[in-house]
Amino acid sequence: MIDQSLYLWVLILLAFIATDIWRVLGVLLANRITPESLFMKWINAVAYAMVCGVMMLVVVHPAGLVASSSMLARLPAFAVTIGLMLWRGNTLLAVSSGAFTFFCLDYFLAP
Amino acid sequence: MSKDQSQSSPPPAMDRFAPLSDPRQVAMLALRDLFQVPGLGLFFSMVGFSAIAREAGFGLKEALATSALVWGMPGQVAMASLYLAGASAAVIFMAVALANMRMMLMVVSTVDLIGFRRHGTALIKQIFLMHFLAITTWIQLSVVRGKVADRAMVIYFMAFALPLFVIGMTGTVLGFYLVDIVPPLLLKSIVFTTPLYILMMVAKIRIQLFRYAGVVGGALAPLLYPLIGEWAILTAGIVGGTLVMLPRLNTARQVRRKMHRKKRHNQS
Repeated sequence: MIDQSLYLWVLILLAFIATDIWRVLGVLLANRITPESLFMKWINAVAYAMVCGVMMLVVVHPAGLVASSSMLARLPAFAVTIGLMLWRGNTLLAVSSGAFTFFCLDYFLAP
Repeated sequence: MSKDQSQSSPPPAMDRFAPLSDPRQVAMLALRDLFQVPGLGLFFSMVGFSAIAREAGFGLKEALATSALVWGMPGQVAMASLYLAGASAAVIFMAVALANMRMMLMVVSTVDLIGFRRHGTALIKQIFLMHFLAITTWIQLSVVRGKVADRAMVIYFMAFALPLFVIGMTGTVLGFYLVDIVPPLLLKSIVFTTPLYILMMVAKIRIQLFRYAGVVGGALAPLLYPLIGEWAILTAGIVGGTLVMLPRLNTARQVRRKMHRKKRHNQS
């Protein structure tokens, strides 16, 4: 099994490179863009859009642990969170209520 | 668009609350902010990752190394699940690179928020510090912008991001064993708080343009995912970011044209 374990370490190294290459490129790029420019705003706008995209994928098409839950638990939980956020504007209340909704629905919907 | 104009400049300093600049106070604020939803959410995300990694056949050392070296959840999850599926090294490399590409944009944004360039921070130090950047930290920096003095932002970053990294490593180690004790349903619910939290933080961002970008990107990615898989994130980001910028670009062009006309008028 030495080969298999060595292979995994190579993969970890590759994953490290695949991630930090973006970080290094980001630093190099950031030091060349004019701060208050439209291009900087565009980069920020794309970053927010991408992060929200990543997070909405967890809600709609999750991978990992959350994958074993039902959409009927995730979407109502998300709706409760948004609703409370708009109504009360309290992040902690909105997020914990959303998570609680998820917990209850997932519990009752579990096969 | 008059509303946007005021939002494009740095947030107005609040008269009654001068931005914090004392290093100790800033560090304390960062720690106080950390040991709430952000720290807890990240801890359990890492617990969740550790559970998947163990299932995929990682040892504790391998799981810990992945968390420490990659330090970006979507890439970590992609790596562990593709390894479990027996994907080739090239496929894993591409998938991780694609899943964590947003890092580049987050780093650009963070370098600007912290003002590394204004303060003349060495490139190598910037690169080292940016390894510790996570979505949670980036969102937090956008939130405290204006509350913390510009030159103290780097202190806030270090006091937030470095302990967060320690929390993440602790979560990875404990997660390896916690999965046996904590009921999966409970663990799942806690892991699910992170996307809800991050989305709500974006909803609270003061700059309207970025909130709209988040809404468009968040709506597009799940719609595109069944069609183009992991590319959905990149596409949703570029489309969302560009779409909200269009009115801006138009305004900029009009301003330029007006100035051009004025110049010609003055010359004649």
